[in-house]
Amino acid sequence: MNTPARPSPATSLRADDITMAYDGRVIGDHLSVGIPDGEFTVILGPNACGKSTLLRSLSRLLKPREGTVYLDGKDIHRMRAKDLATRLGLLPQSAVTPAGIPVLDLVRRGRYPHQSVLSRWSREDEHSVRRALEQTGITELTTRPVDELSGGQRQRAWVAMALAQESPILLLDEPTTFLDVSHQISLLDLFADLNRTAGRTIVAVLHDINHAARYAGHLIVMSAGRIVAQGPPAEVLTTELLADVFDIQATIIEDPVNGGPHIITRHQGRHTAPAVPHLRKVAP
Amino acid sequence: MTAWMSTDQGDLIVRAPGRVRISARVPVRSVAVCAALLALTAAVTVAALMLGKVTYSPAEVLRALTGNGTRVSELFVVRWRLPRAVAAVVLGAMLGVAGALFQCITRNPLGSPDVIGFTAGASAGGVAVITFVGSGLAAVTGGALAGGLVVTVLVVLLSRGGGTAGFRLVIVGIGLNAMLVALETYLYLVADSDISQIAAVWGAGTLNAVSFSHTGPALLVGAVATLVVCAGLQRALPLFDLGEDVAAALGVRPARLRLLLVLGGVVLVAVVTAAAGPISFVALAAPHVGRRLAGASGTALAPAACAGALILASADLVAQHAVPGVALPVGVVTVAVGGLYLLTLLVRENRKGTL
Repeated sequence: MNTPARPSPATSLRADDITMAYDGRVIGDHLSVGIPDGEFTVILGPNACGKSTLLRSLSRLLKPREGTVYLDGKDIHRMRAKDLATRLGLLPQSAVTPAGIPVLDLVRRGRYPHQSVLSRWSREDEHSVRRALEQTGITELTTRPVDELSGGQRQRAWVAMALAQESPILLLDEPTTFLDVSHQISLLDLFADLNRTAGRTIVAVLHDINHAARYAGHLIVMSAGRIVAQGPPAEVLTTELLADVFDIQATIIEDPVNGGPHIITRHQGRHTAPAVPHLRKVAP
Repeated sequence: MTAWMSTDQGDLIVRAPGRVRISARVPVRSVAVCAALLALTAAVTVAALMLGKVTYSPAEVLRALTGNGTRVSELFVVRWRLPRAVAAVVLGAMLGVAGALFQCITRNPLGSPDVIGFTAGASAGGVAVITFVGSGLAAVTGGALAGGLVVTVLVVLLSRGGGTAGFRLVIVGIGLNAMLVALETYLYLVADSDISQIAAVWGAGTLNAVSFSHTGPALLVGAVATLVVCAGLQRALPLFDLGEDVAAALGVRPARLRLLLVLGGVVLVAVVTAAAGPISFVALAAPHVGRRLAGASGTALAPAACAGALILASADLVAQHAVPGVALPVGVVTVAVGGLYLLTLLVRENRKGTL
């Protein structure tokens, strides 16, 4: 389906021919994906296509029925739980906020994989927590209860918890869902900065195709439990793919900000506008 | 070893100097609260040793405890009152920890062993064994354990659609509780009157019959189990509180941890029930009281244990001396006070919409 012409980038984390199933119900079979190191990867796809399940498989929350997920060449199900946690972080959708927990208390819990019975609060623990709070811009909120924060701030507190884990790879399951657009964008900016300046490998499940196109260096598109396409957004996003996978009629134009793809849907009530051959040039 | 100490938002940080990787973060408020609760418990215990048919001064109690008292004072204080006072403290701490574990597993502030039916099941199992088999400690423990487990499994199955976090678990537990009370009453009625008397006192939850020879082993097992549970689970529980997926992502094996939690909670309650009968509501209230006082969020085992010890020791003091000349079963006191507590809790949680 996709045979990259150039040499494929290094992928520390990859799934090799995995079949994923919940209680006997197969979600996706014989999937293979590689997560490029140091890249911001976005997983796109309609609801119930298996995106979250793929993320759960990549992070060992779900053991694949067949196939293997490798991290640095090792089967993740054969690694020690704490060793894996220092290499790979995950922010799932199912996170539970204990009533009244202060921000600092939550973020500190992210240090668990680096601690031991004797070393319970080292200098590194302290530095990592401070850095995570600074990176997410919530240093001022440390004493506030997480459940009393705004949605955007609350999500930042959880991201800070995952950052304090200091794992080179960070998986995020729909981190922007339920946030207003300004919080979505500021969170995506944060991930982009973490990816660029800190060199972290980021994998996020997103719903907004244009956000994915703007921020992702690598796109994985799923549909009905299959990987339909993977690669740079400019190669992956085509009108045919949008019609096949998302059932939308769209025109793809050049993003005036960064030159990447930008999709314009042509739906307008009951009418679908005809494909526009030339769009008015947008001032940069 | 000289330690480096500093403070960080109310926590005391202790680190070994140099390259030794030894460090700790001590939540000062939590430690202070536990110390205060233990001091109060000690005061209540001394009062329990002083009061009774013959009243002793604290100095006389101390002399009796150190073996320098008169024969009579040693008989009263050490032989008769001490086993009961120690039992109240240890069993209370066990109930507090067990309640915290149950509430942690069910992710429900009301999910304590009394509310979800485990205590009632253990009680019915124990009464059945006393009625039909005999009142030996091992047999009663077995009966209580079996009864508690059967009813817990029933509750979990019946509340399956709603999960354990919601209102359904509580409703199902209350319903089964009512049926088990009926069953117990039936057992009292069919048994011989002297056996039924023993079973009824046990079934109310009492420390009246406690002696070191009878409950000593249970207390020892319980104290050790409590310490093992607290030490073993204390680091992983704060992660479990964040959800099983987050816990797994942070390097905890949630399935194994859940099993340990259930096992710890069930064993603790079963041992308490076997030793003293079903003592209700301590397991419900102690974790809440401890957590609030300590300013902790999520599961806090040590404050729950200290609060449990204080609550049961105080309740037993009240049970012995509230009605002159009558030693009430401690379970009667905890039910009376705890029922009110459960009501206010239900109203508050309902208002918050968390149920």
